[in-house]
Amino acid sequence: MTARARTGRRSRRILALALLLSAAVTGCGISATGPQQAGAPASGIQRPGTSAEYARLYFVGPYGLRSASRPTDRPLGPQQALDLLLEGPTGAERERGLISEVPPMHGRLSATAATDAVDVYLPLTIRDLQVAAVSQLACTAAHADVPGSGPPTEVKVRFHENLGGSDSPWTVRCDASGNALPVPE
Amino acid sequence: MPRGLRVRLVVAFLAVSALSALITAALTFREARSAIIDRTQDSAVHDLRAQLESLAPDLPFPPSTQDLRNFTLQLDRAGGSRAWRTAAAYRDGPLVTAPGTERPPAVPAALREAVGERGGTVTQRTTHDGAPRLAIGMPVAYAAATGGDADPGKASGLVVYAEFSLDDDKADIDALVTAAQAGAVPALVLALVPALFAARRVLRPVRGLRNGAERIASGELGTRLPVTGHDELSDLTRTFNTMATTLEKDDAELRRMEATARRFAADVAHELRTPLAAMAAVTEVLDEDAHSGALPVDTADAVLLISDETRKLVRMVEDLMEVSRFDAGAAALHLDEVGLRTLVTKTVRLRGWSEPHGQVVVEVPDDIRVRVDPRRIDVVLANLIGNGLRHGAAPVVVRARLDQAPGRTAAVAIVTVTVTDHGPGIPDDVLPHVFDRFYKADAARARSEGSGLGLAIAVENTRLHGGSLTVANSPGGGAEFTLVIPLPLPPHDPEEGGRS
Repeated sequence: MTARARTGRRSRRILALALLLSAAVTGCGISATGPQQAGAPASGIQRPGTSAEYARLYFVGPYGLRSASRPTDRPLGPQQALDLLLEGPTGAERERGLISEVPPMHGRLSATAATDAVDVYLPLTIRDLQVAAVSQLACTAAHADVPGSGPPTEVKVRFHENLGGSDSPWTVRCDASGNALPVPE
Repeated sequence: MPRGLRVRLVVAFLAVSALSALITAALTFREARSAIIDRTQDSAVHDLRAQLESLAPDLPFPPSTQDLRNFTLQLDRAGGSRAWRTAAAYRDGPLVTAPGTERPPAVPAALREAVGERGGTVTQRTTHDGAPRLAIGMPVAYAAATGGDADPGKASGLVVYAEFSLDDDKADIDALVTAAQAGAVPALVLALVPALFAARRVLRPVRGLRNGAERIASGELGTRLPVTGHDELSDLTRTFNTMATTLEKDDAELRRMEATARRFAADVAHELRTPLAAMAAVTEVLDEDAHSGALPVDTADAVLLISDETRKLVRMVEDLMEVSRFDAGAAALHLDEVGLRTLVTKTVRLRGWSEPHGQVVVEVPDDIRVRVDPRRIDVVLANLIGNGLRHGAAPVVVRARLDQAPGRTAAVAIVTVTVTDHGPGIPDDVLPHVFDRFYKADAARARSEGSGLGLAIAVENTRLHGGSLTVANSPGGGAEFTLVIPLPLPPHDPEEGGRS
C-alpha cells in the first residue's frame, strides 16, 4: 500500500516535470522585455561653430543627386575627394539607395585645384559619361578644398577629355540643387 | 497503471528517452531562440548606427522639424528588408516622423525614459496585437572635432527611434518548435525498438525460469535451466537449479524409503502367513476339543482365547497382503455386470446382518445395473455397513441413485451409494484421518475388532473402479460414507490403479 502510494507520487512528480518542460518548449515564442542596454550612442552630429572636416561626395539616389558627408582628419583637395568618390558608396550609403554612375577609371583620373577653379583630366570623353556621372564629378570637385573665396557654387570645374588630348575643356558649375550647369565662355 | 513487467520496462524506457529528448530539445531551443533574437537585434542596432553616423554630418544643427522629417525619410528608406519605421526627437521635443507615414512607430514610453536616463542605445521588445516587435532608441552624439575645443561623444540631444516587426524571427522560432515536435514522435517510435529489445533480453530468462518452475510443479524434477552470463538473473537461475537438484534428491530418498517400508510390510505379511495357517489349523482342532468338554474348563477358556486371537491375526495378515497387492499394482479387476440391489442384499445376508429385521435398511432401486468387480464392491460395502453397525448405531441405511455428472468430453453416468448410520457421527478432528492405515479413532481402545486397514482397503478398491469414497457427518448426526462409481467404467489401467 505504501509502495503503491510512493509509486503514484513518483509518477505524479515525473508527469509534472514533463508538463513543465513541454510548457517551456511550446509556450515560448518571443516574449516582451523591458528596456535593455545595447551599446554606445551613435555620433556624427556637426556641432555648430566647430571645424570638423567633412568630405562632401555626391552620389545618385532614388530622387536625384544627394550628398554624403564623410568625416576626415584634414581638408581634402579635389584629387583626394574624387578618389574617394571613385571608390563608391559605403554600405550605409548603399542601404539608403545611393549608387555611383561614374565608371571605374583605374587611377587615371587627375584633378588640380586653381583659384576658384578645378581642372579635371579624364581618361575618356564626356560623351562616354552619364549626365549624372558628370554632375557627381563636378559637384564633388567643387565642394572640395579649393583656394579662393567664392562658395562652392561659384567654382568652375574644367573637364579635359582624353587627359587633355582634346582642344578645349568643358567648363561646368555645380548649382545649389546638385546639377552640373555649363558655364558660358 | 500497467502491471506487466514487459509493459513497465518499455514504458520506463520510453519515459527516460522522452525526458532526455525533451530536456535536450528544451535547452537547444532556448539557445537557438536567443541566438536568433540576438542576431536580429544586433544587426538592427549595427545598421541603425551605421546609418546615423553616415547621415548625421549632413544634418543642419540645431535641426528644424523639416530637417528631422527629411532625416527620418532617409532612415526609413535605409531599413532594407527589415522595413523599420523611424522617428526622431530633438531634446524633449515631440517625435517627428517622415512625411506621409500612415502609422507612426510605436515607441514605448519606458524606452524613451531609459534612453533619457542612460544616454546609450537601448532596445526593448514589445508585443503589439500578439506580434512581437523590436524598438531601438539611439541617441546621437557630437562628432569628434579637429579643433579640440568640443568634447567628442557628448550627447547632442537628438535621439532616433526605430521600430520593426519580429515576425520573421517568430516564424523561424515556430519552425524550430514544429521541427522538434515532428522529430519527437519518430524518435519515440524508434526508441520503442531498443525498449522492446531490452525488455525481451531481460524477460527471456524470467520466462525460462517460469517454464522451469511449471515443469517442476508438474513433477519433472529433472528440469535444469541453462545458466548464461553473470548477472542477477543468472544467479537466480543457478539457485533454481540447486533447488531442483535438492528437490529431486529428497523426492528420490522419500520414494526409496516408502518402497522399502511397503516391501517390509509385504514381506512380513508373507512370512507370517505360513506359520499362521498352521496355527489356525491347530486351533480349530483345539476349538472342537474345548467345545466338546474334553479339556479342563480353564484350559478350554485359554484355548478359545488363543483361537480367537489367531483368527484376528489371520484376518489382519490377509488385509496386509491385500494392501500390499494394491501398493505393488498387482490388484486386478474381474468385471461383471450385476444388479446393484442384488449385490447389496447379498452382502447384508452373507454377513448375517439381515437379522434382527431393520438393522440394515436397503433403499436401492431395482433397475440400477453396474459393471463392477462384485467381490471388491462387496468388500467395500461390507466394510462400510460393518463400521456403521460397530461404531455407529442401527439402523444403517444404504441408498443409491443414478446421476449425470459433467465429464471431460460428455456427460458421464455415475452411481452414488450412501451408507448412513444413526450413531453420534465422527469427531471433526478424526474425519480427515478415517481412511488412513491403522488409524485408531480412540487411542484408549487400542484393540478393536478390525485390523485398522478396512477403510484403506475400501478406498483402494473404489479407486480401482475409477470412483471415489468420501465421508461426512449427515445432518441427522450419523456418519455418512458416499461411494461414487462412474458408468461405464473407464479403461482399466493397472499402473494407475496401483498407485496410492
